[in-house]
Amino acid sequence: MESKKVLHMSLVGSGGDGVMATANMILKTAAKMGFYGMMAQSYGPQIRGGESAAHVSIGAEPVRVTNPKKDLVICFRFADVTRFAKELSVGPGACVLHGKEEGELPSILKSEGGVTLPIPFQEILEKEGLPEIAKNVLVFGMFLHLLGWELKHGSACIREVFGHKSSAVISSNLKAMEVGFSSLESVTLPFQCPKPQKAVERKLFSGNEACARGAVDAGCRFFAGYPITPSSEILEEIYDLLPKVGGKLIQGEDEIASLGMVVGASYGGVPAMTATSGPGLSLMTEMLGLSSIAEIPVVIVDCQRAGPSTGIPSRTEQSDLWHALYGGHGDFPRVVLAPTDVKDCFQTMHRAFYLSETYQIPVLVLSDALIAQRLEIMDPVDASGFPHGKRLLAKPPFENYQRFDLQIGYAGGSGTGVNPVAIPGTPEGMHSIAGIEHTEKGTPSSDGDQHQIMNQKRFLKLKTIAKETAPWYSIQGSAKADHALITWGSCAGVAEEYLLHHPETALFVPQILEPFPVEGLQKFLKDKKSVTVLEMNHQGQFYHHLRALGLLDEGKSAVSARRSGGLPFKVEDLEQMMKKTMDYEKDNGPWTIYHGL
Amino acid sequence: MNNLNPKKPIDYRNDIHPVWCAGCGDYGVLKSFTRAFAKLELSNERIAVISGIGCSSRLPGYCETYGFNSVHGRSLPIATGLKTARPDLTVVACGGDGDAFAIGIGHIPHAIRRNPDLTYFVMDNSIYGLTKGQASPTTSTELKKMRGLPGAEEIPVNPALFILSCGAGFVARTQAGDMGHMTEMLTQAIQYPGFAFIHCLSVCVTYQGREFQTGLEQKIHALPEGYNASNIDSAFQIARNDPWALGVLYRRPPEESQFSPVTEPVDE
Repeated sequence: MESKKVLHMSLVGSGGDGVMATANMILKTAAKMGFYGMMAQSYGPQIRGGESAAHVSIGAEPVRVTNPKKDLVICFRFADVTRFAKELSVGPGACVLHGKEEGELPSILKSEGGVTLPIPFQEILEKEGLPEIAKNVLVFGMFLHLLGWELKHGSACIREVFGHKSSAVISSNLKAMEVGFSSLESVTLPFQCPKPQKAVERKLFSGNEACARGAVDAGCRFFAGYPITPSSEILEEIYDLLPKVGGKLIQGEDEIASLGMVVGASYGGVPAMTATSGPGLSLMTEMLGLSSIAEIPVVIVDCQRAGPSTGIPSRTEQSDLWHALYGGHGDFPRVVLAPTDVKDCFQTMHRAFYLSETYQIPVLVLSDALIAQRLEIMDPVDASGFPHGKRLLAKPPFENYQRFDLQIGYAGGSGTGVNPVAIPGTPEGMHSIAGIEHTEKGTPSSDGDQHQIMNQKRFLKLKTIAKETAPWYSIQGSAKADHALITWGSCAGVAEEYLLHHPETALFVPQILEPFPVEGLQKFLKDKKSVTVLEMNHQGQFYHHLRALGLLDEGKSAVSARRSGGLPFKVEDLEQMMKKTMDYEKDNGPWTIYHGL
Repeated sequence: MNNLNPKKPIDYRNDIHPVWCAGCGDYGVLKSFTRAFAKLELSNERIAVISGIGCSSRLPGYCETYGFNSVHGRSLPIATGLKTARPDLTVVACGGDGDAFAIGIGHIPHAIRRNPDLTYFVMDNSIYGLTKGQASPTTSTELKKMRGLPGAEEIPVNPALFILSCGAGFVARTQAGDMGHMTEMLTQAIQYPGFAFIHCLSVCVTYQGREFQTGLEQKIHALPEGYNASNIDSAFQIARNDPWALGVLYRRPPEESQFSPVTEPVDE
């Protein structure tokens, strides 16, 4: 019997079936038992009702993707299942549970050599005197049995989930779980489920929760934002967290006001942030330039969705990269970071506040729908080693204090670009600042030379930062591998999964995109024969950025593997793309571009 | 405060020469600002003046206080954020009629809803001075027609009426030609706990002309004797029917502000 290292499961149904609640309970229980795991959601544009699917993967080792062929599928209703045809592929030998009353299994749910279990939900519920609403807990009980988990783990989860309800509700749910558990007692799966290595309790977070917690850990004490999918959970989570540390949240009337309030709070000396998605980032762009020229630290998390304009709010993409890197009028420096998974959000937020506070510069964090709303089981993050940013404060005596003193900040090009700041309230440090180009004192100035040297001073910050962030990338795979794969952000997960089966390829993932870890990539590419740049957008934004930086100009074939977002890449997609890359290289030689799938 | 060595208005003025045209009403505003600060004996470092963009928004640059000349129309969000972070500061947002009632008008009701303890001072010259004389949201239909400016068919914004209807607790009107009155209004507004608004009638000598100033001087007058500023209905009536009445149009009895700041102590 095959033994699974990672178990991939999907739950499909309509609103009200309890798809997400059941998937959550499975993941919660897995986290307590010592598994790793991940859960991604798919849903349509509906508020309530309509189709919804949860893709849950659990394993004894960290899980990277949730979209391979499924080993276990539960389908509450067939009515909406075809909408998930592209996201749901049932693996060979899979076990499929479905409502008996739904009739014949649709072809997309059929498994080669697998087990199909029609479950008479209604009948079981009626026989046991359980309410309709208990159906999903019944299913939870069935999962426990199929996965070989003990009832006690499930009971603990039920008690936690329904803890705030009456004892009657708790006991009714416990009963439903037990009934589900025992109703499948005669069934065994055609494969062996993974077992946790150690019974260590782990934490369960979404990327958005991780961003909020990471930010507050890193010292964020003010948040202003406007709700927008898929970033809203950052606002919700940080609303709970901030009062506990003396912080404050304001829900802005729009994204412009939100970043304006963040700029104002940060001007007052308080580390501050906002979170948004593409349409909101567009609105914030003028204020982004302001924070850069006025040298006020701000942190902006952009949970990218498929765009442009309103795009697809609930679907992922990596198409805000150019906006983050180049968006805005005039030249201004900004830092761009990109977390690769939920756990990485913690460190990325620490880095964001460290850099913004230390260098008095706006920092953009490019998350996306895939990371933002995905749940992951993870080991606790030890933040004690993370750098902690502190704004360089001007201290008395103030003799001829100049906020943007070129002697200090620029020093003929040998400075750091950073000037000590007297925040409002500091005795003797009075000065005014402006979004308009200004003198060293902050007074508006229309002098061309002044503008040139101020730009040089401000951009010096990126040079200074680059020295510090040069090692902010990860390399995986053998140094001897011929093929190079480069990607960023959430695509790192599928690339890592691909690498498991492809020792001929090594992977480079930058954790900072601006300033780019140039030397790291140059070193990595040195002995590589071919290069593939993987990303989820139509134009190959990252690929072209690397070309612009001159990083792919090494006489090697450099291929852009890309497509629009919506659905996350599968390992098979990547295999297809990489094969084409290598074939294309054979036929066409170096310096070719291929437009992905 | 050390009353043996009282603060003088000049103590709140830095040595930068304003870019304003000779005769501009904004000079008077700057003087009134420094006078009000002196009258209230505020420490320079505890004052922050936040503006948007435009001629009048250059004002923070001339005050010996903290100042921020930000982007067009956004002084209120920035001032609100600052006040949240630093409740110990006296925060004054200021700007012109274009800044306030064109690009920035969407922020006004929301700043008022939040009711932070800040003063919003709008210098209304009813013209876009910095961009050389286009119509602003408060430019009168007559002037627009007379000059052939765009928007003659559009009804001008009534600042006081708009702000009152948004629910501000303190609404006053003053004029740039009377520094004594302006200083008094500003002093009261700064002292008012909560969002306070001052509509300052001003003249752009370059694009409105001195004849406009003369006309203004003929039209303006004090509020009727015995006017009760705590009566919201009277305030609405004056705001709607008498756009030239100067004084405190409305003053709600101060209430405990629901606006809570960041309480985490900040390093200085």
